[in-house]
Amino acid sequence: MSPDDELRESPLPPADDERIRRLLAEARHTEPIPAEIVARLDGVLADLVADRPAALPAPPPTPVVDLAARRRRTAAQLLVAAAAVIVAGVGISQVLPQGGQGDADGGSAMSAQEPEAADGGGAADEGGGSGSEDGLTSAPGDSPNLASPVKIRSHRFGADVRRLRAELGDSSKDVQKFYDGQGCLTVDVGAGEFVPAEYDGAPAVVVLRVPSGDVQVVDLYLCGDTQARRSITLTAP
Amino acid sequence: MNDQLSVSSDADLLRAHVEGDPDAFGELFARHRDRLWAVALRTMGNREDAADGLQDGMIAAFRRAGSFRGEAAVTTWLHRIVVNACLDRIRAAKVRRAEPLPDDLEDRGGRGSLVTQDGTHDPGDLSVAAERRRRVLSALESLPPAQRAALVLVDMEGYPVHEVAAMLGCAEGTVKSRCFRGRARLHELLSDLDPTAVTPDDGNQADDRPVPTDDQPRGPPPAG
Repeated sequence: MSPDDELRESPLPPADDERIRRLLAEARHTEPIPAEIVARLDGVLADLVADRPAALPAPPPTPVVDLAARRRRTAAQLLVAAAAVIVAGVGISQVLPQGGQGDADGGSAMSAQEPEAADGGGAADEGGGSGSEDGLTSAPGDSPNLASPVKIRSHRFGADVRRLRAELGDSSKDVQKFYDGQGCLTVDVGAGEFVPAEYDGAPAVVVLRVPSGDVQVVDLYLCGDTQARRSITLTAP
Repeated sequence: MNDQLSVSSDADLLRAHVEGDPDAFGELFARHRDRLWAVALRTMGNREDAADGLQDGMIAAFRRAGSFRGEAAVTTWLHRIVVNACLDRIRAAKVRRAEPLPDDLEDRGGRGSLVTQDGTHDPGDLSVAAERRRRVLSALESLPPAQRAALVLVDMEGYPVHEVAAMLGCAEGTVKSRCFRGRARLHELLSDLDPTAVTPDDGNQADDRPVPTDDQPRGPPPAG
């Protein structure tokens, strides 16, 4: 019989069925939730309320910087810049006498300057907003600065992790490429995207697990620990 | 404001939360927190994971409150979210570690202790009860998560099958089937907890059945 087959009646005699039910009922947990867990939940709830827009029916535009959108804009600007370089290069090659190598050099020089211009424009558009207001240390660029661990605060763990994940966005693959927890983790903690962090000042690693269905688990390990210190399940991005 | 919230119905509190009341969800969750904790604890098997599961569920409920359609009771909806958060955690842990059940089941069974030694009970009785509970919880933890959740909700928490079906998002027949299978497995694991098997010193069990007779049943009186 397959475990998926539905049983229409108990395979146990009624007396045995009742005995097991009685044993289970006796093992019911009847004590209130421990005070320290109440305090923890209250803290998380306070964070949720604080992060919530003040007026739900007509939420005002939030000042939070959409870094993913910014990345997309920057990429689009780079594409335009690259196209302009190609067009300019083709045009110059047709106007100038056969210069060969010199044409290519000119194109390269122009393209090398474009990203700076694009970045500068992007930064101006965003008005200098960043995730630093929530305590996350971000590089001025688009992805977290790997040389500077992301700050995660115990009392705002959920909010900080969500912000980190939003900041990582599409660049998380690059993060995984550069960092795998080496120098911090002493055991194999499984697959995921690893981000160096500081948890209340202590060196740590955030591990974003592969989303499963519509959820994604994010674990935080203190360096040297073999068990996750904190863990949270988020809605999959 | 808080006095007003305290007399509001669950549905009113949830609605107030969706409309932006910053205190409504806290009041609602506090009402059901203890029972949700009990379910999370028995589903996860230890305090730490139960706290994480309950926290996940609370966050999900806070964020998804706007999706509540009122088709079930608010408490059913809350249970569903918390149980699903716990089961998601169990699944995620299996995926990332792919390891069997923990070796410290016996230790884990004792966490979130159910027994408070207040000195008013016979220590021997408490010890026997605690040991039996530990065995039950250990056996419960060996069941597949879906069966465990069904048994926790039906047999431990006493919810009716149709409500548990709504909590677990499955058919009533599926809930019954999971309970049947789970109890059958527990029966195998806990057969020695049967009072008739563990208390031979209590003597023979009283037999209330009528004494059988070899006599042939009497027929009708002979004619004549």
